[in-house]
Amino acid sequence: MIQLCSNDDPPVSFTVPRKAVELSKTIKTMLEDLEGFDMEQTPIPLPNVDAPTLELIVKWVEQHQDDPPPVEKPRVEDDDSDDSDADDDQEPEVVIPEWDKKFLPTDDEQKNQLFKLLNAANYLEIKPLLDIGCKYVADKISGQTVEWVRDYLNMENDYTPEEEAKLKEEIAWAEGL
Amino acid sequence: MTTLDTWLKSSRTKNDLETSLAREVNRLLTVYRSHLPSGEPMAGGCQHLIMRGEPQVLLQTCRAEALFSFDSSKSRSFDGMPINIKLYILSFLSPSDLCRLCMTSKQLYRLCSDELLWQRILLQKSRKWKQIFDDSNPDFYKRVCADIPSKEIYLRCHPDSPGTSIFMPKVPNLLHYFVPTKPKLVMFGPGLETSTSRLVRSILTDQQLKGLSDEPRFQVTGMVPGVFAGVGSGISLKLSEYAFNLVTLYSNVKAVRQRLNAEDRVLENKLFDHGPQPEGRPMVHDVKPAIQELLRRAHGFIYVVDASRSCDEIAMTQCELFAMMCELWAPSHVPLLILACCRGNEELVVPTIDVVRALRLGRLNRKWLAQSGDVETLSGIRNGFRWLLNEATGASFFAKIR
Repeated sequence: MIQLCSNDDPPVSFTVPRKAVELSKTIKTMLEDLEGFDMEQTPIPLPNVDAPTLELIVKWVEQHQDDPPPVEKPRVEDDDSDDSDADDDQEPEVVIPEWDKKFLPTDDEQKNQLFKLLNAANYLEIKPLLDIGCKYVADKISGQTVEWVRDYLNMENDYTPEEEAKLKEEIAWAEGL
Repeated sequence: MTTLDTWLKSSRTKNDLETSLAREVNRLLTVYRSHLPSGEPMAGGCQHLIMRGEPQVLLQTCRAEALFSFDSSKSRSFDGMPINIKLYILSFLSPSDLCRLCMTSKQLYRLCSDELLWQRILLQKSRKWKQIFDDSNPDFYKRVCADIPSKEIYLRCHPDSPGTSIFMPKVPNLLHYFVPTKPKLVMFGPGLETSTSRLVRSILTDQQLKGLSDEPRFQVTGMVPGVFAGVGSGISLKLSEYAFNLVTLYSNVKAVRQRLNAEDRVLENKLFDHGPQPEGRPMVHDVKPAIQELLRRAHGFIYVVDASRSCDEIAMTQCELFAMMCELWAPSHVPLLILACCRGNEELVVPTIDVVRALRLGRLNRKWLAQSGDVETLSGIRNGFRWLLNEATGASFFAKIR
Protein backbone atom coordinates (compact mmCIF):
# COMPACT_ATOMS: atom_id res chain seq x y z
CA MET A 1 0.00 0.00 0.00
CA ILE A 2 1.15 3.49 -0.81
CA GLN A 3 0.18 6.69 0.98
CA LEU A 4 -0.66 9.82 -0.96
CA CYS A 5 -0.95 13.27 0.65
CA SER A 6 -2.95 16.18 -0.63
CA ASN A 7 -1.66 19.75 -0.64
CA ASP A 8 -4.10 20.86 2.06
CA ASP A 9 -3.08 22.24 5.38
CA PRO A 10 -3.01 19.88 7.22
CA PRO A 11 -2.53 17.33 4.40
CA VAL A 12 -5.15 14.65 3.96
CA SER A 13 -3.64 11.27 3.23
CA PHE A 14 -5.08 8.33 1.32
CA THR A 15 -3.85 4.75 1.32
CA VAL A 16 -3.97 3.15 -2.10
CA PRO A 17 -2.84 -0.29 -3.37
CA ARG A 18 0.42 -0.01 -5.26
CA LYS A 19 -1.08 -1.59 -8.35
CA ALA A 20 -3.77 1.08 -8.51
CA VAL A 21 -1.42 3.95 -7.84
CA GLU A 22 0.81 2.82 -10.68
CA LEU A 23 -1.85 3.86 -13.15
CA SER A 24 -0.24 7.24 -12.64
CA LYS A 25 2.88 7.32 -14.74
CA THR A 26 4.34 10.10 -12.62
CA ILE A 27 4.09 8.06 -9.43
CA LYS A 28 5.07 4.83 -11.15
CA THR A 29 8.27 6.39 -12.44
CA MET A 30 8.99 7.86 -9.04
CA LEU A 31 8.50 4.52 -7.32
CA GLU A 32 10.77 2.86 -9.83
CA ASP A 33 13.42 5.50 -9.24
CA LEU A 34 13.20 4.97 -5.52
CA GLU A 35 13.42 1.20 -5.75
CA GLY A 36 14.98 -0.11 -2.56
CA PHE A 37 13.49 2.47 -0.23
CA ASP A 38 10.59 1.42 1.89
CA MET A 39 7.91 3.39 0.15
CA GLU A 40 5.15 1.77 2.20
CA GLN A 41 6.20 3.93 5.11
CA THR A 42 6.82 7.20 3.27
CA PRO A 43 3.79 9.23 2.31
CA ILE A 44 4.09 10.83 -1.13
CA PRO A 45 3.17 14.52 -1.08
CA LEU A 46 1.28 15.77 -4.10
CA PRO A 47 1.68 19.55 -4.01
CA ASN A 48 -0.65 20.11 -6.97
CA VAL A 49 -3.67 18.11 -5.81
CA ASP A 50 -6.18 19.05 -3.14
CA ALA A 51 -8.15 16.58 -1.00
CA PRO A 52 -11.47 16.45 -2.91
CA THR A 53 -9.59 15.97 -6.18
CA LEU A 54 -7.27 13.37 -4.70
CA GLU A 55 -10.26 11.50 -3.36
CA LEU A 56 -11.68 11.32 -6.88
CA ILE A 57 -8.36 10.21 -8.29
CA VAL A 58 -8.06 7.45 -5.69
CA LYS A 59 -11.61 6.30 -6.41
CA TRP A 60 -10.87 6.16 -10.10
CA VAL A 61 -7.56 4.29 -9.91
CA GLU A 62 -9.03 1.76 -7.51
CA GLN A 63 -11.89 1.09 -9.90
CA HIS A 64 -9.59 0.77 -12.89
CA GLN A 65 -6.60 -1.01 -11.37
CA ASP A 66 -7.43 -4.27 -13.14
CA ASP A 67 -7.97 -2.73 -16.57
CA PRO A 68 -5.80 -4.23 -19.28
CA PRO A 69 -2.97 -1.81 -20.04
CA PRO A 70 -3.63 0.32 -23.13
CA VAL A 71 -2.06 -1.08 -26.28
CA GLU A 72 0.85 1.09 -27.26
CA LYS A 73 0.94 1.03 -30.99
CA PRO A 74 4.14 2.02 -32.73
CA ARG A 75 4.07 5.60 -33.93
CA VAL A 76 3.91 5.85 -37.68
CA GLU A 77 6.31 8.41 -38.98
CA ASP A 78 4.17 10.86 -40.85
CA ASP A 79 6.37 13.18 -42.73
CA ASP A 80 4.34 14.64 -45.53
CA SER A 81 5.69 12.31 -48.18
CA ASP A 82 2.82 10.93 -50.17
CA ASP A 83 2.94 7.39 -48.86
CA SER A 84 -0.34 5.71 -49.39
CA ASP A 85 -0.28 3.33 -46.45
CA ALA A 86 -1.15 5.95 -43.87
CA ASP A 87 -4.56 4.31 -43.89
CA ASP A 88 -4.85 3.51 -40.23
CA ASP A 89 -3.65 6.74 -38.68
CA GLN A 90 -7.18 7.17 -37.45
CA GLU A 91 -6.76 7.30 -33.70
CA PRO A 92 -8.94 4.93 -31.70
CA GLU A 93 -12.06 6.68 -30.58
CA VAL A 94 -12.30 7.51 -26.90
CA VAL A 95 -15.36 5.92 -25.34
CA ILE A 96 -16.41 6.90 -21.82
CA PRO A 97 -17.36 3.73 -19.90
CA GLU A 98 -20.64 3.66 -17.97
CA TRP A 99 -18.96 3.66 -14.57
CA ASP A 100 -16.88 6.70 -15.50
CA LYS A 101 -19.92 8.56 -16.77
CA LYS A 102 -21.40 8.36 -13.31
CA PHE A 103 -18.05 9.02 -11.69
CA LEU A 104 -17.12 12.23 -13.47
CA PRO A 105 -18.27 15.41 -11.72
CA THR A 106 -20.70 16.24 -14.46
CA ASP A 107 -23.08 18.73 -12.88
CA ASP A 108 -22.56 22.24 -14.13
CA GLU A 109 -21.92 23.42 -10.57
CA GLN A 110 -19.17 20.86 -10.33
CA LYS A 111 -17.36 21.88 -13.47
CA ASN A 112 -14.56 23.46 -11.47
CA GLN A 113 -14.00 20.12 -9.82
CA LEU A 114 -13.89 18.55 -13.26
CA PHE A 115 -11.21 20.97 -14.41
CA LYS A 116 -9.23 20.34 -11.25
CA LEU A 117 -9.49 16.63 -11.90
CA LEU A 118 -8.18 17.06 -15.43
CA ASN A 119 -5.32 19.13 -14.13
CA ALA A 120 -4.44 16.46 -11.61
CA ALA A 121 -4.75 13.67 -14.16
CA ASN A 122 -2.38 15.60 -16.37
CA TYR A 123 0.10 16.20 -13.55
CA LEU A 124 -0.06 12.57 -12.43
CA GLU A 125 0.00 11.36 -16.05
CA ILE A 126 -3.06 9.17 -15.86
CA LYS A 127 -3.68 9.03 -19.58
CA PRO A 128 -6.97 7.09 -19.65
CA LEU A 129 -8.53 9.43 -17.10
CA LEU A 130 -7.31 12.45 -19.03
CA ASP A 131 -8.74 10.90 -22.20
CA ILE A 132 -12.24 10.43 -20.89
CA GLY A 133 -12.23 13.75 -19.05
CA CYS A 134 -11.17 15.74 -22.08
CA LYS A 135 -13.58 13.82 -24.27
CA TYR A 136 -16.34 14.62 -21.80
CA VAL A 137 -15.60 18.35 -21.88
CA ALA A 138 -15.37 18.26 -25.67
CA ASP A 139 -18.73 16.51 -25.97
CA LYS A 140 -20.19 19.08 -23.65
CA ILE A 141 -18.92 22.00 -25.74
CA SER A 142 -19.64 20.42 -29.11
CA GLY A 143 -22.60 21.95 -30.92
CA GLN A 144 -23.19 24.63 -28.26
CA THR A 145 -23.62 28.30 -28.88
CA VAL A 146 -20.76 30.72 -28.42
CA GLU A 147 -22.46 32.32 -25.41
CA TRP A 148 -22.95 28.98 -23.72
CA VAL A 149 -19.32 27.99 -24.18
CA ARG A 150 -18.17 31.37 -22.93
CA ASP A 151 -20.17 30.85 -19.78
CA TYR A 152 -19.12 27.23 -19.37
CA LEU A 153 -15.42 27.93 -19.79
CA ASN A 154 -15.63 31.14 -17.85
CA MET A 155 -14.26 33.29 -20.63
CA GLU A 156 -14.72 36.91 -21.31
CA ASN A 157 -15.65 38.21 -24.71
CA ASP A 158 -12.67 40.41 -25.54
CA TYR A 159 -13.67 41.20 -29.12
CA THR A 160 -14.85 44.58 -30.24
CA PRO A 161 -18.26 44.51 -31.96
CA GLU A 162 -16.53 45.17 -35.29
CA GLU A 163 -14.13 42.29 -34.84
CA GLU A 164 -17.00 40.07 -33.83
CA ALA A 165 -19.06 40.93 -36.89
CA LYS A 166 -16.11 40.31 -39.18
CA LEU A 167 -15.38 36.93 -37.64
CA LYS A 168 -19.01 35.94 -37.85
CA GLU A 169 -19.01 36.63 -41.55
CA GLU A 170 -15.82 34.66 -42.08
CA ILE A 171 -17.04 31.51 -40.40
CA ALA A 172 -20.67 31.63 -41.49
CA TRP A 173 -20.23 28.99 -44.16
CA ALA A 174 -18.20 26.73 -41.90
CA GLU A 175 -21.23 25.75 -39.82
CA GLY A 176 -21.84 22.63 -41.82
CA LEU A 177 -18.30 21.28 -41.94
CA MET B 1 3.17 41.14 9.40
CA THR B 2 -0.43 41.07 8.48
CA THR B 3 0.31 42.75 5.18
CA LEU B 4 1.08 39.47 3.44
CA ASP B 5 -2.27 38.16 4.45
CA THR B 6 -4.09 41.17 3.19
CA TRP B 7 -2.43 41.31 -0.17
CA LEU B 8 -2.89 37.62 -0.68
CA LYS B 9 -6.59 38.19 -0.27
CA SER B 10 -6.89 41.47 -2.06
CA SER B 11 -4.80 40.82 -5.16
CA ARG B 12 -6.78 39.08 -7.79
CA THR B 13 -4.61 38.47 -10.79
CA LYS B 14 -1.21 36.91 -10.89
CA ASN B 15 0.30 40.15 -12.10
CA ASP B 16 -1.02 42.02 -9.10
CA LEU B 17 0.33 39.30 -6.91
CA GLU B 18 3.75 39.53 -8.48
CA THR B 19 4.05 43.28 -8.10
CA SER B 20 2.82 43.29 -4.55
CA LEU B 21 5.11 40.43 -3.65
CA ALA B 22 8.04 42.28 -5.17
CA ARG B 23 7.08 45.33 -3.14
CA GLU B 24 6.86 43.23 -0.01
CA VAL B 25 10.23 41.62 -0.63
CA ASN B 26 11.78 45.04 -1.16
CA ARG B 27 10.32 46.26 2.10
CA LEU B 28 11.69 43.26 3.96
CA LEU B 29 15.07 43.80 2.32
CA THR B 30 15.16 47.35 3.66
CA VAL B 31 14.33 46.10 7.12
CA TYR B 32 16.99 43.43 6.77
CA ARG B 33 19.64 45.88 5.60
CA SER B 34 19.08 48.16 8.55
CA HIS B 35 20.05 45.30 10.89
CA LEU B 36 23.36 44.68 9.16
CA PRO B 37 26.66 46.50 9.50
CA SER B 38 27.11 48.37 6.24
CA GLY B 39 29.13 46.70 3.49
CA GLU B 40 28.66 43.18 4.80
CA PRO B 41 27.46 40.70 2.16
CA MET B 42 23.90 39.52 2.53
CA ALA B 43 24.17 35.76 2.82
CA GLY B 44 20.89 34.05 2.27
CA GLY B 45 19.24 37.34 1.55
CA CYS B 46 15.72 37.94 2.59
CA GLN B 47 15.03 34.30 3.22
CA HIS B 48 17.67 34.24 5.88
CA LEU B 49 15.88 36.90 7.85
CA ILE B 50 12.54 35.25 7.49
CA MET B 51 13.81 31.86 8.58
CA ARG B 52 15.57 33.28 11.57
CA GLY B 53 12.95 35.70 12.70
CA GLU B 54 9.34 35.08 12.05
CA PRO B 55 7.95 31.59 11.52
CA GLN B 56 4.55 32.99 10.60
CA VAL B 57 5.99 34.90 7.67
CA LEU B 58 7.86 31.79 6.62
CA LEU B 59 4.67 29.82 6.28
CA GLN B 60 3.00 32.53 4.28
CA THR B 61 5.93 32.90 1.90
CA CYS B 62 5.82 29.18 1.29
CA ARG B 63 2.18 29.50 0.44
CA ALA B 64 2.92 32.35 -1.91
CA GLU B 65 5.55 30.19 -3.59
CA ALA B 66 3.09 27.36 -3.96
CA LEU B 67 0.73 29.82 -5.57
CA PHE B 68 3.31 30.72 -8.16
CA SER B 69 4.34 27.21 -9.01
CA PHE B 70 0.74 26.13 -9.07
CA ASP B 71 -1.95 28.69 -8.95
CA SER B 72 -4.68 26.69 -7.29
CA SER B 73 -7.30 29.35 -7.79
CA LYS B 74 -6.68 29.10 -11.51
CA SER B 75 -6.58 25.33 -11.74
CA ARG B 76 -10.30 25.35 -11.16
CA SER B 77 -11.07 26.99 -14.46
CA PHE B 78 -10.48 26.16 -18.07
CA ASP B 79 -8.31 29.21 -18.39
CA GLY B 80 -5.83 27.97 -15.80
CA MET B 81 -5.23 24.62 -17.37
CA PRO B 82 -1.97 23.79 -19.12
CA ILE B 83 -2.08 24.37 -22.85
CA ASN B 84 -1.67 20.69 -23.62
CA ILE B 85 -4.94 19.81 -21.88
CA LYS B 86 -6.78 22.61 -23.62
CA LEU B 87 -5.53 21.47 -27.00
CA TYR B 88 -6.33 17.88 -26.15
CA ILE B 89 -9.92 18.83 -25.39
CA LEU B 90 -10.14 20.78 -28.63
CA SER B 91 -8.74 17.84 -30.57
CA PHE B 92 -12.00 15.99 -29.97
CA LEU B 93 -14.03 18.73 -31.64
CA SER B 94 -15.18 18.96 -35.22
CA PRO B 95 -13.89 21.67 -37.59
CA SER B 96 -17.22 23.49 -37.40
CA ASP B 97 -17.06 23.51 -33.60
CA LEU B 98 -13.54 24.89 -33.74
CA CYS B 99 -14.57 27.62 -36.15
CA ARG B 100 -17.45 28.58 -33.90
CA LEU B 101 -15.32 28.57 -30.75
CA CYS B 102 -13.06 31.14 -32.38
CA MET B 103 -15.81 33.60 -31.55
CA THR B 104 -15.57 32.95 -27.82
CA SER B 105 -12.45 34.90 -27.00
CA LYS B 106 -9.10 35.83 -28.44
CA GLN B 107 -7.34 33.22 -26.38
CA LEU B 108 -9.62 30.49 -27.66
CA TYR B 109 -9.20 31.85 -31.18
CA ARG B 110 -5.47 31.21 -30.94
CA LEU B 111 -5.99 27.76 -29.49
CA CYS B 112 -8.63 26.84 -32.07
CA SER B 113 -6.28 27.85 -34.86
CA ASP B 114 -3.41 25.73 -33.62
CA GLU B 115 -1.33 24.41 -36.50
CA LEU B 116 -0.89 20.87 -35.20
CA LEU B 117 -4.59 20.60 -34.49
CA TRP B 118 -5.46 21.50 -38.06
CA GLN B 119 -2.69 19.44 -39.58
CA ARG B 120 -4.31 16.41 -38.03
CA ILE B 121 -7.76 17.48 -39.16
CA LEU B 122 -6.55 18.11 -42.70
CA LEU B 123 -4.82 14.74 -42.80
CA GLN B 124 -7.85 12.84 -41.58
CA LYS B 125 -10.76 14.76 -43.02
CA SER B 126 -9.32 15.22 -46.49
CA ARG B 127 -9.56 11.45 -46.84
CA LYS B 128 -13.32 11.76 -46.70
CA TRP B 129 -13.66 14.41 -49.39
CA LYS B 130 -15.52 13.29 -52.46
CA GLN B 131 -14.49 16.17 -54.67
CA ILE B 132 -11.05 17.64 -55.17
CA PHE B 133 -10.48 20.32 -57.79
CA ASP B 134 -7.24 21.38 -59.38
CA ASP B 135 -7.29 24.51 -57.23
CA SER B 136 -8.60 22.84 -54.08
CA ASN B 137 -5.87 20.25 -53.87
CA PRO B 138 -4.32 20.56 -50.39
CA ASP B 139 -1.04 19.10 -51.60
CA PHE B 140 -0.78 21.95 -54.05
CA TYR B 141 -0.92 24.53 -51.28
CA LYS B 142 1.55 22.65 -49.14
CA ARG B 143 4.01 22.44 -52.00
CA VAL B 144 3.71 25.97 -53.28
CA CYS B 145 3.54 27.94 -50.06
CA ALA B 146 4.90 25.89 -47.21
CA ASP B 147 4.09 28.48 -44.57
CA ILE B 148 0.37 28.64 -45.20
CA PRO B 149 -1.43 27.39 -42.06
CA SER B 150 -3.23 24.07 -42.29
CA LYS B 151 -6.44 25.68 -41.07
CA GLU B 152 -6.46 27.97 -44.07
CA ILE B 153 -5.71 25.11 -46.44
CA TYR B 154 -8.54 23.13 -44.93
CA LEU B 155 -11.02 25.96 -45.17
CA ARG B 156 -10.00 26.78 -48.72
CA CYS B 157 -9.97 23.23 -50.01
CA HIS B 158 -13.03 21.86 -48.27
CA PRO B 159 -15.63 20.85 -50.86
CA ASP B 160 -18.23 23.15 -49.23
CA SER B 161 -15.94 26.14 -49.17
CA PRO B 162 -17.35 29.15 -51.02
CA GLY B 163 -14.04 29.34 -52.89
CA THR B 164 -14.69 26.07 -54.70
CA SER B 165 -18.34 26.14 -55.60
CA ILE B 166 -18.89 24.24 -58.80
CA PHE B 167 -22.18 25.60 -59.91
CA MET B 168 -21.76 28.99 -61.43
CA PRO B 169 -24.80 31.07 -62.25
CA LYS B 170 -26.61 30.01 -65.38
CA VAL B 171 -25.44 31.45 -68.65
CA PRO B 172 -27.94 33.55 -70.56
CA ASN B 173 -29.34 31.65 -73.51
CA LEU B 174 -27.75 33.99 -76.01
CA LEU B 175 -24.30 32.89 -74.98
CA HIS B 176 -25.09 29.36 -76.04
CA TYR B 177 -24.66 30.53 -79.65
CA PHE B 178 -20.97 31.01 -79.04
CA VAL B 179 -20.27 27.79 -77.29
CA PRO B 180 -20.34 24.31 -78.80
CA THR B 181 -23.91 23.14 -78.82
CA LYS B 182 -23.09 19.55 -78.14
CA PRO B 183 -19.80 19.13 -76.36
CA LYS B 184 -18.01 15.87 -76.94
CA LEU B 185 -16.76 14.11 -73.85
CA VAL B 186 -14.18 11.37 -74.15
CA MET B 187 -14.18 8.77 -71.41
CA PHE B 188 -11.42 6.24 -70.84
CA GLY B 189 -9.37 4.68 -68.09
CA PRO B 190 -8.82 1.44 -66.22
CA GLY B 191 -12.00 1.78 -64.17
CA LEU B 192 -14.03 1.02 -67.30
CA GLU B 193 -12.54 -2.44 -67.37
CA THR B 194 -12.84 -3.65 -63.79
CA SER B 195 -15.76 -4.22 -61.48
CA THR B 196 -16.74 -0.59 -61.94
CA SER B 197 -17.29 -1.14 -65.69
CA ARG B 198 -20.98 -1.01 -64.86
CA LEU B 199 -20.65 2.76 -65.02
CA VAL B 200 -21.50 2.94 -68.71
CA ARG B 201 -24.53 0.69 -68.35
CA SER B 202 -25.73 2.69 -65.36
CA ILE B 203 -25.51 5.90 -67.37
CA LEU B 204 -27.43 4.36 -70.26
CA THR B 205 -30.21 3.01 -68.06
CA ASP B 206 -30.32 5.91 -65.64
CA GLN B 207 -33.66 7.23 -66.82
CA GLN B 208 -35.44 3.93 -66.33
CA LEU B 209 -34.46 3.55 -62.71
CA LYS B 210 -36.85 5.54 -60.65
CA GLY B 211 -34.98 6.64 -57.59
CA LEU B 212 -36.19 8.68 -54.68
CA SER B 213 -34.06 11.71 -55.37
CA ASP B 214 -35.21 14.20 -57.98
CA GLU B 215 -31.65 14.79 -59.13
CA PRO B 216 -31.51 15.29 -62.91
CA ARG B 217 -30.79 12.02 -64.68
CA PHE B 218 -28.95 10.94 -67.80
CA GLN B 219 -31.21 10.57 -70.85
CA VAL B 220 -30.14 8.78 -74.01
CA THR B 221 -31.12 10.77 -77.09
CA GLY B 222 -29.31 8.94 -79.88
CA MET B 223 -26.16 7.47 -81.29
CA VAL B 224 -23.16 9.20 -82.88
CA PRO B 225 -21.28 7.40 -85.65
CA GLY B 226 -17.52 7.10 -85.41
CA VAL B 227 -15.43 9.42 -87.51
CA PHE B 228 -12.01 7.87 -87.80
CA ALA B 229 -11.63 4.22 -88.62
CA GLY B 230 -14.27 3.06 -86.24
CA VAL B 231 -12.98 5.16 -83.40
CA GLY B 232 -15.15 7.75 -81.76
CA SER B 233 -18.63 6.36 -82.08
CA GLY B 234 -20.64 7.29 -79.08
CA ILE B 235 -23.95 8.09 -77.51
CA SER B 236 -25.88 11.34 -77.38
CA LEU B 237 -27.03 12.09 -73.89
CA LYS B 238 -28.82 14.74 -71.93
CA LEU B 239 -28.25 15.69 -68.34
CA SER B 240 -30.51 18.47 -67.05
CA GLU B 241 -30.03 21.38 -69.47
CA TYR B 242 -26.87 19.94 -71.06
CA ALA B 243 -26.88 17.85 -74.23
CA PHE B 244 -23.63 16.10 -75.03
CA ASN B 245 -21.95 13.22 -76.83
CA LEU B 246 -20.12 10.63 -74.85
CA VAL B 247 -17.39 8.60 -76.48
CA THR B 248 -16.01 5.68 -74.53
CA LEU B 249 -12.56 4.31 -75.27
CA TYR B 250 -11.64 0.84 -74.14
CA SER B 251 -8.11 -0.44 -74.16
CA ASN B 252 -9.00 -3.69 -75.85
CA VAL B 253 -11.79 -5.92 -77.00
CA LYS B 254 -13.76 -7.39 -74.17
CA ALA B 255 -12.37 -10.92 -74.33
CA VAL B 256 -8.78 -9.67 -74.06
CA ARG B 257 -9.60 -7.10 -71.36
CA GLN B 258 -10.90 -9.67 -69.01
CA ARG B 259 -7.74 -11.73 -68.80
CA LEU B 260 -5.20 -8.94 -68.44
CA ASN B 261 -3.88 -7.57 -65.18
CA ALA B 262 -3.07 -3.94 -64.58
CA GLU B 263 0.51 -4.05 -65.82
CA ASP B 264 -0.15 -5.99 -69.00
CA ARG B 265 -3.12 -3.77 -69.61
CA VAL B 266 -0.87 -0.82 -70.31
CA LEU B 267 1.40 -2.87 -72.60
CA GLU B 268 -1.48 -4.35 -74.56
CA ASN B 269 -3.46 -1.14 -74.69
CA LYS B 270 -4.88 -0.69 -78.19
CA LEU B 271 -5.04 3.07 -77.72
CA PHE B 272 -1.27 3.22 -77.86
CA ASP B 273 1.38 2.47 -80.47
CA HIS B 274 4.07 0.57 -78.70
CA GLY B 275 7.32 1.25 -80.44
CA PRO B 276 10.28 -1.05 -79.94
CA GLN B 277 11.46 -0.61 -76.40
CA PRO B 278 14.94 0.94 -76.31
CA GLU B 279 17.40 -0.88 -74.10
CA GLY B 280 17.26 0.26 -70.48
CA ARG B 281 14.80 3.05 -71.09
CA PRO B 282 11.27 3.29 -69.86
CA MET B 283 8.54 2.28 -72.25
CA VAL B 284 7.29 5.03 -74.51
CA HIS B 285 3.55 5.22 -75.01
CA ASP B 286 2.45 6.97 -78.14
CA VAL B 287 -1.22 7.53 -78.62
CA LYS B 288 -2.48 6.14 -81.92
CA PRO B 289 -3.12 8.78 -84.61
CA ALA B 290 -6.85 8.10 -84.79
CA ILE B 291 -7.14 8.53 -81.02
CA GLN B 292 -5.04 11.69 -81.20
CA GLU B 293 -7.51 13.20 -83.64
CA LEU B 294 -10.39 12.27 -81.42
CA LEU B 295 -8.76 13.86 -78.39
CA ARG B 296 -8.08 17.06 -80.33
CA ARG B 297 -11.78 17.45 -81.00
CA ALA B 298 -12.93 16.70 -77.48
CA HIS B 299 -14.41 19.30 -75.13
CA GLY B 300 -13.91 17.34 -71.96
CA PHE B 301 -12.08 14.25 -70.74
CA ILE B 302 -13.18 11.68 -68.21
CA TYR B 303 -10.68 9.33 -66.66
CA VAL B 304 -12.26 6.47 -64.78
CA VAL B 305 -10.42 4.62 -62.03
CA ASP B 306 -11.62 1.86 -59.77
CA ALA B 307 -11.23 3.17 -56.23
CA SER B 308 -11.71 -0.27 -54.76
CA ARG B 309 -8.29 -1.23 -56.13
CA SER B 310 -5.10 -0.51 -54.23
CA CYS B 311 -3.30 2.81 -54.42
CA ASP B 312 -0.34 1.12 -56.12
CA GLU B 313 -2.54 -0.24 -58.85
CA ILE B 314 -4.03 3.18 -59.45
CA ALA B 315 -0.57 4.71 -59.49
CA MET B 316 0.45 2.21 -62.16
CA THR B 317 -2.14 3.64 -64.54
CA GLN B 318 -0.74 7.14 -64.16
CA CYS B 319 1.37 6.82 -67.33
CA GLU B 320 -1.77 5.99 -69.29
CA LEU B 321 -3.46 9.17 -68.11
CA PHE B 322 -0.44 11.36 -68.80
CA ALA B 323 0.11 9.83 -72.25
CA MET B 324 -3.49 10.61 -73.20
CA MET B 325 -3.31 14.08 -71.66
CA CYS B 326 -0.19 15.06 -73.62
CA GLU B 327 -0.74 18.62 -74.80
CA LEU B 328 0.22 17.75 -78.39
CA TRP B 329 -3.25 16.25 -78.84
CA ALA B 330 -5.18 17.14 -75.70
CA PRO B 331 -5.38 20.97 -75.57
CA SER B 332 -4.64 22.23 -72.12
CA HIS B 333 -7.83 24.30 -71.84
CA VAL B 334 -9.96 21.17 -72.04
CA PRO B 335 -11.05 20.13 -68.56
CA LEU B 336 -10.54 16.68 -67.09
CA LEU B 337 -12.85 14.84 -64.75
CA ILE B 338 -11.38 11.99 -62.76
CA LEU B 339 -14.01 9.59 -61.55
CA ALA B 340 -12.88 7.50 -58.59
CA CYS B 341 -15.55 4.85 -58.79
CA CYS B 342 -16.73 2.25 -56.39
CA ARG B 343 -19.56 -0.20 -56.48
CA GLY B 344 -21.84 -0.12 -53.48
CA ASN B 345 -19.78 -0.32 -50.30
CA GLU B 346 -18.09 3.06 -50.04
CA GLU B 347 -16.19 2.27 -46.87
CA LEU B 348 -13.50 0.15 -48.42
CA VAL B 349 -12.38 2.52 -51.12
CA VAL B 350 -9.22 4.54 -51.56
CA PRO B 351 -9.90 8.12 -50.40
CA THR B 352 -10.17 10.65 -53.20
CA ILE B 353 -7.15 12.52 -51.88
CA ASP B 354 -5.05 9.36 -52.32
CA VAL B 355 -6.28 8.97 -55.89
CA VAL B 356 -5.17 12.55 -56.52
CA ARG B 357 -1.74 11.69 -55.13
CA ALA B 358 -1.40 8.33 -56.87
CA LEU B 359 -2.19 9.85 -60.25
CA ARG B 360 -0.01 12.88 -59.47
CA LEU B 361 -2.74 15.18 -60.71
CA GLY B 362 -0.86 18.15 -59.29
CA ARG B 363 1.44 17.96 -62.30
CA LEU B 364 -1.34 18.32 -64.86
CA ASN B 365 -1.57 21.59 -66.70
CA ARG B 366 -5.34 21.79 -67.03
CA LYS B 367 -8.49 22.21 -64.99
CA TRP B 368 -9.47 19.04 -63.25
CA LEU B 369 -11.83 17.67 -60.68
CA ALA B 370 -11.40 14.40 -58.84
CA GLN B 371 -14.82 13.14 -57.87
CA SER B 372 -15.70 9.92 -56.16
CA GLY B 373 -18.93 8.20 -57.01
CA ASP B 374 -20.90 5.00 -56.93
CA VAL B 375 -21.44 3.24 -60.26
CA GLU B 376 -24.68 1.67 -59.08
CA THR B 377 -26.51 4.78 -57.94
CA LEU B 378 -24.41 7.29 -59.93
CA SER B 379 -24.35 9.48 -56.85
CA GLY B 380 -21.44 11.89 -57.15
CA ILE B 381 -21.01 10.93 -60.79
CA ARG B 382 -23.84 13.17 -62.04
CA ASN B 383 -22.25 16.01 -60.08
CA GLY B 384 -18.92 15.36 -61.77
CA PHE B 385 -20.52 15.34 -65.24
CA ARG B 386 -22.28 18.61 -64.52
CA TRP B 387 -19.03 20.23 -63.50
CA LEU B 388 -17.34 18.95 -66.65
CA LEU B 389 -20.18 20.10 -68.90
CA ASN B 390 -20.23 23.45 -67.19
CA GLU B 391 -16.51 23.83 -67.81
CA ALA B 392 -16.63 22.33 -71.31
CA THR B 393 -19.32 24.67 -72.59
CA GLY B 394 -17.38 27.61 -71.30
CA ALA B 395 -20.26 28.45 -69.03
CA SER B 396 -18.01 28.94 -66.06
CA PHE B 397 -15.78 31.19 -68.14
CA PHE B 398 -18.67 33.43 -69.15
CA ALA B 399 -19.92 33.43 -65.60
CA LYS B 400 -16.57 34.73 -64.46
CA ILE B 401 -16.23 37.56 -66.96
CA ARG B 402 -19.74 38.71 -66.34
